[in-house]
Amino acid sequence: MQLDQTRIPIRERGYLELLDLALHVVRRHGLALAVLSLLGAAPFYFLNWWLLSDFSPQDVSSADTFTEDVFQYYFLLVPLLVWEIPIASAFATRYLGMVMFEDRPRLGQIFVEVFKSLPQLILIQVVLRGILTLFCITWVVLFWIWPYMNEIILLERNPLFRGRQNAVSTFSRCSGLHAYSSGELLSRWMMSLLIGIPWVFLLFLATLVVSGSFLGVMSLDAVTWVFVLPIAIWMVIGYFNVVRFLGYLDLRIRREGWEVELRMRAEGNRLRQEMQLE
Amino acid sequence: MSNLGQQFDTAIDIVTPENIAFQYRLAGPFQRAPAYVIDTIIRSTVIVILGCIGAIAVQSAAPLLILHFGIEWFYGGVFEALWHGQTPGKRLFRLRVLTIHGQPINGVQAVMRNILRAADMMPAFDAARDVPVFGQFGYTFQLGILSCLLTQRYQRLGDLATGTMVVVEEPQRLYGVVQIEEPEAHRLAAELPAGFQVTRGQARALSQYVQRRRGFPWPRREEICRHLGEPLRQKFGLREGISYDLLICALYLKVFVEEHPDYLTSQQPPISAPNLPPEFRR
Repeated sequence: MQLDQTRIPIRERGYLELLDLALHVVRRHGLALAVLSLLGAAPFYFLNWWLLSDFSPQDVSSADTFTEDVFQYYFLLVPLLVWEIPIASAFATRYLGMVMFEDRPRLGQIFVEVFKSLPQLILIQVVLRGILTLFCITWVVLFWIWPYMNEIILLERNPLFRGRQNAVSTFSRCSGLHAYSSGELLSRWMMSLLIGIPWVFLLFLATLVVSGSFLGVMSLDAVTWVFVLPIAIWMVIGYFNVVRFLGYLDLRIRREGWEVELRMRAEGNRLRQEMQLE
Repeated sequence: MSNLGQQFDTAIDIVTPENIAFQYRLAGPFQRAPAYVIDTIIRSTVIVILGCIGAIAVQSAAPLLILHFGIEWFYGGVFEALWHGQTPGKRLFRLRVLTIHGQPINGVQAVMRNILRAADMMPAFDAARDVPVFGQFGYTFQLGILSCLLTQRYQRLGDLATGTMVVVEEPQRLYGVVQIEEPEAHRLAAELPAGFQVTRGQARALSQYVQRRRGFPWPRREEICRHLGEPLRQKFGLREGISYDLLICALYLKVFVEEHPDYLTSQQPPISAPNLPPEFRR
């Protein structure tokens, strides 16, 4: 493994460039990312459908009732999505972390690596995030204060507690990485919402238009709301998962000089090998 | 000719027929979107103002419709043809349209890629006219995004048809040798063995670190430098506990300053060089 030869050139980037670069990554790793995102999101897609089956919009005869039903359904669906995003994107995030240095990580290898982080994932991203998701105001912690918690748990694997060896714990690593970047992280979160929400609806409408044109099916009935719009939502979430991973790299580059460290480490390893040969 | 390597990046290298190499950073749909919004605002404002004037001055709607058609369809094409691949929005956000070979676009390319934007904006909502809640809003732009997703140069359908791409104009900052103020680093540099040859990779690592180190806290500097600093300390036979940051700085001084004293230009501002071929420079 050549530490200074990453698949994505490590340099500082703006948020719009990260969004564009994510398209590039999706094109090159589209199939693997689609499969891993599907593996992560499909269980939650059906879980949400089952949990909210009593609230599905049924009555499409009146426009008022229809709008109210849809609003109620999505009012309940959105917190569920907020809670589910990290677990659903765990496989894809781990894959992206591995593909930075390796050509083709194997599927089993990805599962094993995610499994190693499972205790912290469950404790922080399921239990603690679940509690924080209940209160809308605490979403700022999830998206503003800890935006890259998933990457820290899955890719850095710090211990949960400092311990006797005085190791850097997950939470101290998280606060260390995110410190002094709050303004930028907030603006990135806002930008993501500003781009992501319209994109979901544009994708949804494009699907409707295309299905109407080619299949002759174009209606906003309960099935469309319960099954088609969530697919568009999960697709955009999958894309923003790649953006979030690239944002994590970008933050590490600027805050910690990660690209410099990788280069130093690679040169140090080469020098050690030369010295052993001498 | 361009070389799109195995790495994922928005930067590409282009070699012109004159055998001059340039590196460009490609602009994808998200970097282009703010410029498009600015152009849309300008275009709409002009149409509204001319519409108001026309409504007062001209009794017939025909000239206004022709004017509206002209501005709507040829605004981008005319500007890009006259301004070497830029519209006001693109100029504001430092974007430029070039051919895929890095050459300036011609008038036909400028007009055609703008007319074909209509295809990139599909599918249109018009087909969803009978759908409740949404009604008709306009365009979804998904075909253009899909095209950018599938092509290496983020080309929408208009770009593919005309062989063009959009790049970001960014000045490349060339730095002189960085001045190191710590006297300990200068003292340590004098202790380093003369004639030690650094490799190209080591020189790059030294240079990159010294340019960035002021932004890192002290513990982080030591952490970064330990990887190369420890084998260097052993090689030079220096005492244990030495600051790796100072050792790297000392080696930087030895390599870049002592052997090339004329490089020391840190008092001068960084040199900004445009990354565009001479035909674009005015």
